Amino acid sequence: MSDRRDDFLVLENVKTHFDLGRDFLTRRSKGVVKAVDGISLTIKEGETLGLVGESGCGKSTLSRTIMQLIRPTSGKIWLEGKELSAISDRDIRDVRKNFQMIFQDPYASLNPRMTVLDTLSEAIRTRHPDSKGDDLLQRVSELLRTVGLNPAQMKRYPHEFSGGQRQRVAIARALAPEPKLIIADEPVSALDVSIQSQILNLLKRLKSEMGLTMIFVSHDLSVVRYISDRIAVMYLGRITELGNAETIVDDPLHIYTKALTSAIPVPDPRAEHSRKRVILQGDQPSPIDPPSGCNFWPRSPVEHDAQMKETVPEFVEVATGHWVSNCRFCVEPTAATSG
Amino acid sequence: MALLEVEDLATHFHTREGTVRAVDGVSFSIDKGETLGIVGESGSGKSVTCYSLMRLIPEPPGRIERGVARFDGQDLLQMSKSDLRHVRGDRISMIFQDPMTSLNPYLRISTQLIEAQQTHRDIDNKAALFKAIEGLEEVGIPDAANRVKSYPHEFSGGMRQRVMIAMALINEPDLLIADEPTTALDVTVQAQILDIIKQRQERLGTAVILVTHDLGVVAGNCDKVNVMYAGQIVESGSAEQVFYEAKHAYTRSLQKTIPSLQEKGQELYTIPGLPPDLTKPINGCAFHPRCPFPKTGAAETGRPTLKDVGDGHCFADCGYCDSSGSIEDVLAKGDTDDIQLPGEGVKA
Amino acid sequence: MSNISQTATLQGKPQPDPAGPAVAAMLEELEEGSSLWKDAWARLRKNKLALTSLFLFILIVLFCVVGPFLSPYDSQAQDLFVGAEGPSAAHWFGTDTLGRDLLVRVMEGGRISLLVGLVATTVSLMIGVIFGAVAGYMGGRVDAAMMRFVDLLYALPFTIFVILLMVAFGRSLWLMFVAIGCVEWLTMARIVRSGVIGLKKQEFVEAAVSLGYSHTRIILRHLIPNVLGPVIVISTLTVPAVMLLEAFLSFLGLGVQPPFASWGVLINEGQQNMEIFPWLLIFPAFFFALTLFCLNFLGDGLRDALDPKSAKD
Ligand SMILES: Nc1ncnc2c1ncn2[C@@H]1O[C@H](COP(=O)(O)OP(=O)(O)OP(=O)(O)O)[C@@H](O)[C@H]1O
Ligand SMILES: Nc1ncnc2c1ncn2[C@@H]1O[C@H](COP(=O)(O)OP(=O)(O)OP(=O)(O)O)[C@@H](O)[C@H]1O
Ligand SMILES: [Mg+2]
Ligand SMILES: [Mg+2]
Repeated sequence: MSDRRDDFLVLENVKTHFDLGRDFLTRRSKGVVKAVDGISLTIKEGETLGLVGESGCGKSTLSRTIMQLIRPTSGKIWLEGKELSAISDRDIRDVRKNFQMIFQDPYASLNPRMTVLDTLSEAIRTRHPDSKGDDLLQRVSELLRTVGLNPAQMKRYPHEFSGGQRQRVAIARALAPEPKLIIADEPVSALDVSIQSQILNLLKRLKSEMGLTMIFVSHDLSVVRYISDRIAVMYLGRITELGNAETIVDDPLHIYTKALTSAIPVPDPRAEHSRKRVILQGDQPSPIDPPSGCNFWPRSPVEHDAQMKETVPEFVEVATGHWVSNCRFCVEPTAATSG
Repeated sequence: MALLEVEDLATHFHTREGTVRAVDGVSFSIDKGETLGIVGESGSGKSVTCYSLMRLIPEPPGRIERGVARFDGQDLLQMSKSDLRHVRGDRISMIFQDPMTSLNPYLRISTQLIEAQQTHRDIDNKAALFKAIEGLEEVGIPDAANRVKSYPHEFSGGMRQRVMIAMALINEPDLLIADEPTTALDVTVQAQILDIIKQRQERLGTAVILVTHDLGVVAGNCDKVNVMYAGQIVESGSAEQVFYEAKHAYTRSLQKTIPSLQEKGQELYTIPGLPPDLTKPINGCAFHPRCPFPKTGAAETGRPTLKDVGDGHCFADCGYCDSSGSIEDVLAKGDTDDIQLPGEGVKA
Repeated sequence: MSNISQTATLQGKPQPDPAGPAVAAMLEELEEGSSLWKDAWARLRKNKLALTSLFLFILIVLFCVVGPFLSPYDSQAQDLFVGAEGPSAAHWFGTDTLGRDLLVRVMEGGRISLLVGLVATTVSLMIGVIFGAVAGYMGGRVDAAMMRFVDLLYALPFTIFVILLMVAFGRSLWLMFVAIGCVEWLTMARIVRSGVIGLKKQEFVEAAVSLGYSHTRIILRHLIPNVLGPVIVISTLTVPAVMLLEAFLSFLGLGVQPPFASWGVLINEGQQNMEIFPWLLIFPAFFFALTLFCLNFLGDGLRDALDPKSAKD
């Protein structure tokens, strides 16, 4: 295990639960939301990991946990050999500059009362506390050019920019402390299609030029496929399948991944009409009292028996770098239905 | 005869900042059992078109300036308020974008579904409740007989949207207008919802207008497509025509911005600039300032109109755009630098 | 422009300025942004009623502050031979029962009323904003404890509280500021706290946390400026509320004592002799009401200006 900790980012059985507290009158527990429920992952320096899954499956919670905005309930997280989850709340501030986050909503992620210049200078000073005057101005304008904004607009306020431009400012702010790891939590979901492509291009370019490591969160597999080297598919707080982007999209093993890929609308009428879909049943169950065993059983479109509810599937490497939650009903559904 | 025929519809908003020409001369038609897709980026006037047909535009500031919308021989835009009430919710119904706010949170689902029927039909409570349960079952609500008495907040977003569909279809309308019915939902739930709409449509022979900004949704679900830009239709035709033989520079650019259609290593095309300010008069093609294949020449006054280029495939040809140009060439030239020019930020 | 990205090195010190002159030239022509405050001011300027109110309020303040210096009379000089007389060329507002010039007394009374209003509001603003912001930001137990303290003070009957203070420390103008300030900051703290709790979930605050900024910095730079809008509105409405409280206390004999007078005291005296010497009531009451109206309209205008969504449109 110890060599795994030498990797860039290592998560070991990370769980993040939210205790909903007790009912005021009856004193009965309202339950525990198991938003992230045992995730182990290793990310190499310089790679982009895509994280996909339905709404509420815990993608944002996992991102926030890695960012140490929420501390994990249990499990460990190492970044470059340093155990983040063991650093005290007091000392965590000093290491935060090494990992930054880009948020979903470009309208809520910038302080409306601060100019772009103020926002960026403040962030730059976390890495260069003594930077001021011309040096600071120069750094700010360099950052703005890097993200494709005109430095002459640095005295403007967020509301004077369009959604796409604000997202660029937010990216610049995340880059300002010169982080090694960037977590982008649905950075294009709130943007119009024509603007999405600008931001995707930008992120891709920055990543290769600066050698950043990136976790890219989205519910849209087509976007994730385009930008990621590897993809992790999340369901109800756990990872069901992990592998190369191409493998996951083109040859998925798990039935859930198949349902996800077949749900992506393809902008090609002939292909759309000819392809077969795996349509899931019902909705994602509540993470408060998640289903036992293979947590996918209530929605499984394939035949299964009681065993599925009982055995917790192992997460195994079925081919080099291709991991799957190995439930025999989910992984070989054709065999299960026919035989 | 077409079920609905819209001619030269124009809806403007008279605001303090000026007149917003949200919809400015839109014509299309839809037959029984057909699905018509309306696509376009945010602000192109998709919703305003739908709301205008239902006469749900807030007046003031909005006003339907001109146009005809013949539905089964009657003009929806001239109809008296009381006649309109008979059409709305009975022969034409609408599904809205936000499943969280389009059901009344204080009333049981059953109450809302029964009310929807009794407004238009002489039907007793029992029969109406029975139909309500049947409707919920058809849109895939498990255990519908027990859950029909629930309140909307007890359902998830996807379930609420299904209830909305059940409600919209309960009177078996001739036309269903769905304004981005799945934008707020997950792809998996989206697939379920679109599937349900399709099944119900096949059974009841309903015509559907499906508004979306997702070209993928259009491709899988629509027979005909209208592409809207800045308040007008710039291209229309069958799904195959619009996807495989796109003529208008905007349609072609839009396709090149979608990640799922592009090779992985390839840079995505980005449409430069921003949509035009709808309070200012537009001369020539509205897309001209952002066009990747502009030809030199002066913009004419007025906007180009839709012309048929064969088999019902229409597009607004302005004549100042090189329709043989390909985006690949533009990308290869590498002048799609995404650095913005000064003064391009929009003032709120 | 396409190769700018290549020159953008983020690691380490910037190069000795390859783009030096260009940057300098660019910095010359920086566009000034327009802050939300500036936008709000622009909107307020279009609101005639609010602007007139602001103008009138400034006039009233000037009238009270500068007025007494221009008047030939001393507000405490009694002239028992004259007694109460109606308005005349010598005494524009007439005189009171002790023959004192009412104009000067209204002006000096205004000084005290406005002083009480402004000082007590400022005190409550300072305490309330900081207390509320800290409680909201910290959350959890700290928040619960701090808010229970607020509830406790709320539950205390105000008059009894003031009487207790007066009994313990004797009467003084400053004690009144404290007493009123102590009550008014509670509302302010609650408003700021709920505002901060709403803001805390916004992504820009999370971004600030993930950049490792200190708690103080996050509270002062990122939270408080964003709740200041409603706070300013509440403040304009607190000033008249405080002035009414002061009038009420003076009415009970717990406030300003003779020979000093506030508008509250003058109105109280005036209404005792209302039938015989109506001007004694009319003039102070007029100024008091005018000030209240001005501040209320100004508050409404500010609310619309600072939060254009709530305004009609
Ligand atoms: N602070 C919290 N307290 C209680 N439950 C929470 C909290 N934050 C998140 N949850 C719950 O945890 C689960 C996972 O939420 P999360 O926001 O991580 O999902 P997500 O995958 O990011 O979804 P989306 O795609 O909608 O952003 C949800 O059921 C959510 O309701
Ligand atoms: N009540 C209104 N007052 C003023 N302008 C309005 C109003 N409603 C809509 N508009 C304007 O009309 C134009 C078209 O809006 P519409 O809602 O039809 O866009 P849309 O294509 O549906 O976009 P989206 O994809 O964001 O839903 C926009 O420029 C919008 O600002
Ligand atoms: Mg999320
Ligand atoms: Mg819309």
